[in-house]
Amino acid sequence: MFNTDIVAIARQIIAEKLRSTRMIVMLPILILFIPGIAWGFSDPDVMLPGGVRPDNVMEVMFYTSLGIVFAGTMCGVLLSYDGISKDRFTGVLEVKLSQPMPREEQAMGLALGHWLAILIPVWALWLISTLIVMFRLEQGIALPETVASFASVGLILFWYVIFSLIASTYSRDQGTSVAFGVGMWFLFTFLWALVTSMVAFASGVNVGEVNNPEMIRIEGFLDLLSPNGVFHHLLETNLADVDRGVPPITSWISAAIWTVMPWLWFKSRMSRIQP
Amino acid sequence: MTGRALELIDVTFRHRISRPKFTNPWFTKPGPGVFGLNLTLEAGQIIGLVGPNGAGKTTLLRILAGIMPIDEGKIRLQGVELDPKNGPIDRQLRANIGHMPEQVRWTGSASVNQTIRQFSALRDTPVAPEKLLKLVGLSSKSTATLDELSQGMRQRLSLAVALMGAPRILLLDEPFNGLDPVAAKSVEQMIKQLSNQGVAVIISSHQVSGLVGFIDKLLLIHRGQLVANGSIKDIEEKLGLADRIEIGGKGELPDLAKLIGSGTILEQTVDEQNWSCTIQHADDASIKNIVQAGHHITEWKRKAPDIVEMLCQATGLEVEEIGLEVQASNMMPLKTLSEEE
Repeated sequence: MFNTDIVAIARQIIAEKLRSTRMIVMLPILILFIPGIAWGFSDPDVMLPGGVRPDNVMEVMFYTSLGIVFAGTMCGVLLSYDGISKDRFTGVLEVKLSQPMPREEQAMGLALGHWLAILIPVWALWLISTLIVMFRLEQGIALPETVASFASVGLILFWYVIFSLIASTYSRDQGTSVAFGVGMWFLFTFLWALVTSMVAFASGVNVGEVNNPEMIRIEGFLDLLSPNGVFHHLLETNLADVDRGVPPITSWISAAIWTVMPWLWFKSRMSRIQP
Repeated sequence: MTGRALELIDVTFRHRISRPKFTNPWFTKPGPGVFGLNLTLEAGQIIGLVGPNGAGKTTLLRILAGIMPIDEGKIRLQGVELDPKNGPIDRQLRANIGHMPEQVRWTGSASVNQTIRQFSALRDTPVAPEKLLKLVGLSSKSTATLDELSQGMRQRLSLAVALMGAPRILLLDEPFNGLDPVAAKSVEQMIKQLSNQGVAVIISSHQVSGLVGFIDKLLLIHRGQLVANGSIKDIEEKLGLADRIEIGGKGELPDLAKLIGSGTILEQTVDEQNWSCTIQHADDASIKNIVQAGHHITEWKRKAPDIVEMLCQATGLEVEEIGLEVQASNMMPLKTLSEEE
């Protein structure tokens, strides 16, 4: 599936992005949001809103995932929004498109490079966070839980990166692609709660009532339609006593759909793209 | 080296112009493009592609470079018709053709060497960057970052990338843009060397005067169609622009109608002390007659081929109408971007 040329393209993008000024600016934000949150939430005296007191590693990491949702995904968008539009703007895209390498492979190299450029630092910070929490709670975690946790982080970053790249294939200026990427991030990070409330209200559910089972069920279902929601569903598969009416298999199928559909869209765009 | 490098037979491509409708937001309609193009490119031949802005030059080059698909027609590469059964036609073209687009603004922190290596992965060709950079005169900048390159150096880098994998056909879109006169001359010499090695070259350029004497064949393109195709001499003859002489002298304007026999006076100008005229198909005795009539001739020369004039003649338009203005220095192209380009 991957040949050395795809890897070479990806490696070039990773090297360029990791050394970029953008990364230098974003790295402190990522450190603050991921290990910073993990440190705070693993404090033995911490009390979260609603009287929640996380007492195991996976639960703390679940709340730490806020750092991924707020900072990781945004940094993914900011790192990849000009993945194609910049090349189009400078004329380099035309040079790339005139090379014999199949467009599908070029697309694969681009997607892989941009994804890994954000995944490498975020995974490193996620690993550090996990170790911090394990150290502070003096607990260990099982391998399947660890794999699911890292895979979930990888997937949400992939979704945001691939959507940014798709937007980048359509836009002929940098503003449009960054607006699309940030707009998508804003919708799923902040506005999705509003969408959920509106749907629940229209369905006759008492939105204001805390722990309303009907509201939890609707929220669980609508979360499958949002990358952030699917991400949380995936992380919830590691938590005991959480039931929002969505079985783990549904969460993973949804994750697969969120992965495959945008990828096919991106591949199709790249096969027809013109300078 | 001889043989047909490339043949286009009735090739048509039309851009799709977005025209969203209420019932179909993705509706597109056919827009400008190239229509029914027939073209033969021999190995080692240098072809000049000239046309006004928006005529379809870049579109044609992009079709040949395998960037844009064709809607209709056939393409033969080295005598063999490209068949979709052997893989996508555009990919078959890309494997054999080197393309240098117009004014690529290479930017970034990657070095020139790294960029060459990156493109060698896209071309699946092992390259020696040093050799390639030496060929285009960029050896001293191999470790420089792309941000450090001047426009002329960026042009050279584009040329280096186009030359990767030793393509048999080279497409150069405005290769002389941004190059100083010496660099432009060295690029011209390099193109001639490649041509001698059998590489067929198509050059699209606004610096039309530089093409005369350098190209083997001229293509005049207007509104997506080839309006003239052949050697400069052939096109001059077809368009009635051949066999013209320019004569200049001092004093009164001679009675040219009597003195030049069967020739045709195309143009004559007079100022206080000098006169000049352009005559087509003048008799051999014309000059002798003018001198014998007591007139003082200061200049007499064959009128050099003028590609802009050919384009005007072929399209039936004035220079201002077709929007191709040629500056005195012929170094700085005037360019306006049309919707198509």
